[in-house]
Amino acid sequence: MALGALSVEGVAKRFGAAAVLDGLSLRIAGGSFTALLGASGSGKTTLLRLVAGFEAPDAGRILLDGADMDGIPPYERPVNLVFQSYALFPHMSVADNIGYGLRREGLAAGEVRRRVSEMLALVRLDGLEDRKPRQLSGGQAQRVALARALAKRPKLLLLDEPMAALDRGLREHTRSELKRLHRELGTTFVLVTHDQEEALALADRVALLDRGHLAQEGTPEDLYERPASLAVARFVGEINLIGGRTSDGGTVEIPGLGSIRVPARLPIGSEVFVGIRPEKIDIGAVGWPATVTDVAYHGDRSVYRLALAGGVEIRASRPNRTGEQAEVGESVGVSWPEGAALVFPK
Amino acid sequence: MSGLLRRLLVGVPATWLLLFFGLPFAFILKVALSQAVVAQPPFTPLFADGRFQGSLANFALLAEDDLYLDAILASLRLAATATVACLALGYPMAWAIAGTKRRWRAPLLALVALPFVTSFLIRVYAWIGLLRPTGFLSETLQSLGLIDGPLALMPSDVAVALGMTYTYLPFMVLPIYASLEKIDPVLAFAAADLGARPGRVFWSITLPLSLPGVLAGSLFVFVPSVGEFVVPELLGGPGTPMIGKVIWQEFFNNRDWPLASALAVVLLALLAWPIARAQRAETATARGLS
Amino acid sequence: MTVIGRWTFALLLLASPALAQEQKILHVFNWSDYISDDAIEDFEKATGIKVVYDTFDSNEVLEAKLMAGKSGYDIVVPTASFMQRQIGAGLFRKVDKAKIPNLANLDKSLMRIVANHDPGNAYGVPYLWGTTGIGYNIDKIKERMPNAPVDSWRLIFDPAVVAKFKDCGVAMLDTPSDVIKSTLRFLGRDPNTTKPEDVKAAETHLLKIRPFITYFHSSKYINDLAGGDICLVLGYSGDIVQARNRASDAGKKVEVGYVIPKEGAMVWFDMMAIPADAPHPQNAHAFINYILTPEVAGAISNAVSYASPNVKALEFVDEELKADSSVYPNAQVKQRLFADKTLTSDIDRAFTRAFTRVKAGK
Repeated sequence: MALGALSVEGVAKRFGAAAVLDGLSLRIAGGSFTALLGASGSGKTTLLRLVAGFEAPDAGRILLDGADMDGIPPYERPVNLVFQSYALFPHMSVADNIGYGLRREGLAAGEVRRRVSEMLALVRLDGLEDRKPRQLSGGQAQRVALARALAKRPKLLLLDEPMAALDRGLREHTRSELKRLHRELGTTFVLVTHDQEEALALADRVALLDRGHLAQEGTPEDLYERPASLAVARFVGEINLIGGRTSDGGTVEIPGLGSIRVPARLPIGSEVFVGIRPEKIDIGAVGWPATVTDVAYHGDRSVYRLALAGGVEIRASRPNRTGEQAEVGESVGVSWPEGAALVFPK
Repeated sequence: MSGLLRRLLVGVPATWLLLFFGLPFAFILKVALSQAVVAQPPFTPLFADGRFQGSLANFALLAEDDLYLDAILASLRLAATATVACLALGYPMAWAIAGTKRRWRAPLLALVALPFVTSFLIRVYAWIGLLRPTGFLSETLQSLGLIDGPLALMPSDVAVALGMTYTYLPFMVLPIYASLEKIDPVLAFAAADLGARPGRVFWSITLPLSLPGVLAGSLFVFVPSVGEFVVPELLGGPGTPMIGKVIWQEFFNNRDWPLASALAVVLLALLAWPIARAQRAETATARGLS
Repeated sequence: MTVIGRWTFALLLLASPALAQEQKILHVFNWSDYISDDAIEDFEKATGIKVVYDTFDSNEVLEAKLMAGKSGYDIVVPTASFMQRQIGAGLFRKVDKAKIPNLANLDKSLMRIVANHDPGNAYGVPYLWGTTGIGYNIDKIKERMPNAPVDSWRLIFDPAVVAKFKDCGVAMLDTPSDVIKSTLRFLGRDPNTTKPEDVKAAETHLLKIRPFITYFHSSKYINDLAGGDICLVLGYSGDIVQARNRASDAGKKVEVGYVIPKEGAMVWFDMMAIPADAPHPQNAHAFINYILTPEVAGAISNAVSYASPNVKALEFVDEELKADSSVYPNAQVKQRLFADKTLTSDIDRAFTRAFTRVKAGK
């Protein structure tokens, strides 16, 4: 197994009366690229500070490759952090920023120089070693921060909202850079983010935190296609939720629509939500009759608001392949593949 | 219209400098180049009989008599002592205040500035009460049996340095606090994350980033200390010939305006150098920080 | 006339005392501890002129203020030797003798001496006169040196003698002229010298006793001598006698002596004069005439223990004071006094420089 395996076991952390983490357990495989996803207040930043060693847990253990991190100060942990604001030292050149951690290890000046230029090449900033942080663009500063953290050859790299301060245009490029670095180095990357799109696009594993608990851990597809709970389904992507009641094996009765076949099996007679992702819905001649009440044109696709019988409203997203769109007021038929519907207890 | 307004606004500091520095300095320089006479005004005109009469004789006299050099050196030495003492006391104070919870900072800073509500003269007089041979300190130590005979802490150079340290300490604390407070606390986390122990974090991050404040504070203490008159007059003895006192003596006891002016010009030239140096350093750091 | 010109003219009209009735106000700049308690109040009552009274303690500081110009004072009291140069510099206005009928009360022989500095007595009116000698704490001196030469300048100028008094405090006037002239007299040189080498000799000698001197100040020694904080001072006659009186008034067991040393001491005359730019010259004349009233002059002499030049005032001077030959010297003591002559500006500069060095202890 690759190095950099993180194990969080029953970790709790309170600030005053508020329990920010409440007995959280999580395993992150060595060499993985894991996203810690969650809304603000979910505890993801606290978890990051606990792993980096800036805070100590009230209960539970944090293990890195099996070693308990309890009592080990941040400056002795084989973990490095790329701060959201990058936290570059403003009075030092790019080279001195990158070499800072290496000098702390007591490496010889020549070795520090060699490693610094290696890191500069890795993040493709050769030639900028003498610049001061204020002379860098946002993207360059971020790459210096990455190089500075990676120069220490940590077992685990923590990235705190690394895209937050970047322009939209730069984000796409930075994503592929991060993926490339991860591929080349094999270090465990832990990305902390509130942006589900970023988490899905970057990480091979996603851990969704919800109010101090682990809501679900899995691949991006797991979270999107097979959300473990209503909360996960709501947080990751968009979803239409239609209230109903389970009837005999594999069907849900929805007032006005009748009986829908669903994959999950639930006790008969329970109140449930049926969830359907907007892009799974077909609009055509067949299916439940519906009226288009609104069309939002997004270029590559359009999002339709559809009124069904019984006061049910759903949103459907269709690619604009032919340039033909349904129009507001048009009567259409709505359907979806049988496996596309998800069922959650109310 | 806004262009005119802008030009007027730029003109304000320039006018200020001209009125309150340029013109008085031009006058001092003019007097420094003339000769003392018993007359009103007590110096010769710079232009007489259609000829320029000025000379550098006063400056030559300053160079000849080592009294003035000694006074300048004594002033620089005492001012440097006061500056170092203020730094040694003021930096930890500023650091402690910057490290407290936000709501405590304003009251703590107010405490630092509190002595200013009392007159400066009264505060220095209070030091006389503490330090003189029949004063509080001497009497207390004697009654405790720690010393026999009165302790003459003043008049002395030590008392002068002490008085100036006391007087100018807030001028050191406030700028250092301001620069410490501006440092993003996340930088200390970043340094720790990269393997720096707390002491190293201070030396490699906090201290260098607070240098602009240290520099400003040192200047605020050093420059007025060099020309200080009241503290050496009240706490120093006749053997403390600080330059401010010597200038006063030249003006009032010796009635030698030209020589006093020449001394003032030399003092200004002497102080302009560290100020200019600090300015350059400040600009350089500002460029590195913004 | 421009607008600005018109305004300036209007302001000048308002500010010009010559064109307006002189305001009932008078600014007096006198030596510290140099007037009786009632004199000012009585003058204000008698004339309705409000007096603003301010003090100095050295001729040099007075001269510096006068030379700066626009001092705002109506009456100043320079010593005659200083006044001579100041007259030359045009700092004073002539006294209108017709407005001062009490001038007749002054001692004619003394007026002739003063005329050496102020020819024809045109600018100054004698206020008080005194000597520069030695004040000492009788008990403390005896305690430290039973056979101390208390009648001689050696008491303060002989390094071997003054060294014994270092621990009880030695003070000197903070004026170059009094200190250096007295030193020259002790050294047997001309106190009113014209030779720079004499000044150098005085400086060299003063540096020898410099380590034993606690401070140089021209007024605070009165209280310190009376309070026992110093035991020896080179100071002014009347000030030292005042210290003696204050000590006995406060019931302290401090006995103060004043001596005109046998080698000879400097006699000086303090003059009332009106600055050339005095804003209220008429009031100033009224004040001078008032001071010359025999009762007032006598009371002042009693209060400050300096000799009055006013012969008519002598009947109002305490018998005890009149009998004190250190204040009103008898013929024998007068033999020992030397005149305070005006220095050339070169020598004056040498004096002040030397004195600055002595004070700094360099």
